[in-house]
Amino acid sequence: MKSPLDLDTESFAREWAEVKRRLELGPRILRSVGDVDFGFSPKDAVYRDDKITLYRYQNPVRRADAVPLLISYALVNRPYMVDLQENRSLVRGLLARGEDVYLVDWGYPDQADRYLDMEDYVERFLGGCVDFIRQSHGLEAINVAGICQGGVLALCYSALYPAKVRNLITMVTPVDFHTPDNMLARWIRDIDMDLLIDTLGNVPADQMNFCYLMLKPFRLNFQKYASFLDAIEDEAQVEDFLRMEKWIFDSPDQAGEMLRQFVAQFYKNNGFMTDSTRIGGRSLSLKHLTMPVLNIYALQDHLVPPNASRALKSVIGSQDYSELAFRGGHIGIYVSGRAQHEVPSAISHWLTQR
Amino acid sequence: MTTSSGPHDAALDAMMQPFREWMTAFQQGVSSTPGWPPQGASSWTGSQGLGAGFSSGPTSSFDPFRSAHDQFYATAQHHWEQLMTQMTQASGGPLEGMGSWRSLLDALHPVAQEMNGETSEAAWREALSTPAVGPMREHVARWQEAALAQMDFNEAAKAFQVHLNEIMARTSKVFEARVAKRMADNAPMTSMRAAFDEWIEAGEHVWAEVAVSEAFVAALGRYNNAQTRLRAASQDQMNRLAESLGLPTKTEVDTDHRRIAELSREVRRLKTELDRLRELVQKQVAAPRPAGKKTVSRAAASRDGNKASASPKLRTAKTRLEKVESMPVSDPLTKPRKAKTVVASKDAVAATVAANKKARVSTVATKAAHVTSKSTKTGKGSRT
Repeated sequence: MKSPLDLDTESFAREWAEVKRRLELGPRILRSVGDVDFGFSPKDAVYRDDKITLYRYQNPVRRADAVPLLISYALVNRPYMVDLQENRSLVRGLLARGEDVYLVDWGYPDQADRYLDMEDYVERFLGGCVDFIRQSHGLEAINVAGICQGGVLALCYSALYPAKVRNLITMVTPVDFHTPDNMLARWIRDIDMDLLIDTLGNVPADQMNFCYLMLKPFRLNFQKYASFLDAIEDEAQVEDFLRMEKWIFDSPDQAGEMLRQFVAQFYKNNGFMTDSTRIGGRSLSLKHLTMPVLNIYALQDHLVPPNASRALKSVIGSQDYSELAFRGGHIGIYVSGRAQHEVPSAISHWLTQR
Repeated sequence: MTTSSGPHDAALDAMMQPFREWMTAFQQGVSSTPGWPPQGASSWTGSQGLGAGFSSGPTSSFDPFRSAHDQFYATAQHHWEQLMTQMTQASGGPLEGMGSWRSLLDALHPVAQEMNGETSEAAWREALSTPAVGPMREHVARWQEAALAQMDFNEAAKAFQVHLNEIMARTSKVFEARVAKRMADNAPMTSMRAAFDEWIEAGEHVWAEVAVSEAFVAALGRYNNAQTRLRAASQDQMNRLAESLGLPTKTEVDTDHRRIAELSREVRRLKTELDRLRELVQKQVAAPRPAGKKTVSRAAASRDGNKASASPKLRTAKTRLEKVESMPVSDPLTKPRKAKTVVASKDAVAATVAANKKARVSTVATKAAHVTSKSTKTGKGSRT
């Protein structure tokens, strides 16, 4: 009978020796690479409210007719993912095409922020940024791009103030939170969020990160590091890996009330699909989204399954709805090589037509 | 195995130790396989492959590999459990905070044994669920609740661990199946890394099935909720301790934070509404007045023969009222209302102004309407 492992003793010994060599080498290389920086494109802080900061990216090739584009990233990770490094930057791609790009940085909430809720984030923070940009440019409406949870906030804001949003882009944004392939939604179902928030206040970043890692525990806790070992002698790859590691684990705590309401309205009640979302006592419906919408989703997204994003088409009131299905994962849509070619050009082209 | 030299020796060695143990276990597992050549036997050309030379025994050629795999699995299981334990205690963990409770339970254990004649968790629960009496009643009730929370957490943790163990066991079986398929397809793995990747795929396949099952989701929820309740009990005790020492407590700070957040929201809403009203009024002030229109109060005065003796405040209020009333009907700020213009006597006006001051009427329309309605009641006015 044949063996499942076609490996002779010498090959086996060679392979293990190589693993040992790389393990010994790893710490030395890590020390020589040192800590990594992030964020490639220069930007200026133009507006602040409490811990949030609105940045405007410098752009020497900004088009005179470019309508400002505000990027609203998720609260659960740091927003510099959209401008991670020179060859992995959605922002750089947009700037190269003459767009006027703004980014809202939500900051790091502490326990003093535990009672900030969805109204604060949508109306006060996001709304404040939109109003600032509108007023400083003398415009009635601007373009808004929401990413993941930031896309949910952008959808809420646009439904409440459709006149202030000229064009809306959503990227890997969940709309239907009850699709069968949504593992996170299944897990949250039996967790008493009220007890959790009442006890913890803010939910620690470590807990959120642990949750995401457990969506694919074997790959993300073991295989990823085995692959890192394979690339340990390539300093450029080591830097890229370290930068991604920093982003993955450099996560803010989640403001308690905001997370409580977010989970209740979307993960539990599926607010967008049931038209039951309320912000600050006001009901909102995605039927009030009458501006053009571009919905970008990733086909191998395990965090926001494609069907969760595609559901947007069925609930909005806009007659101008476009989709872009990207062949990649939740993070690859910003950092993969293919993404650098496809995504900024698709966005810019779509915007210039409107 | 050589180690690096220099000031980082100790740290590097500590970091490398788990990997060394893992590899040693694997190597020992492989080398203990019957028929395996001694380590370093370079005279064996290896042309027969890993499986060759095992055919002499009654076992199948897969057995040596299974033995190696079992060693690998056992080590992986150990590290998996360590990882799970570390991660579930990532935030400092309630177990440390409740260490004193465990000591209390341990101390009371002989008492319970004596009472019941056996070790019985049910007996413990019964004792801890017995209502307390006396002046310390509320405190005892809280301690009982905390002790029960500890027991619930222990139970929930064990139940959740059962699911994790099941996942590892099923991973092993799926891994075997995948490897068998490779053999059937004549596509053997050509490196240990390939075997590792197959194990990863097997693990993810099993996880994707088990982690969304009803039983797993329920166990995860129970485990999470039990941990949170235990933490809440710990925090409550710490809160009371801080209070007894005259220190600010989390509860107090949370109360202040909540009040600040609520006030901040209220101020923002008021400011938004104020901005909107200001904008509305500014639009109306800026709007050109139609030609020939007199103020209503003067026209009424000339018709009735009464000189308009309204105070300046009344005149201002009425003028503003006219402006507000002339706004489009669809404006949500205003309701269509009939202008009631009157000429008021000095006394009535003075009384009204005094009443307004007292009542602190804040809006323009309300002031004008109030003044106007009071004057109408005295029978001194008519609509124009």
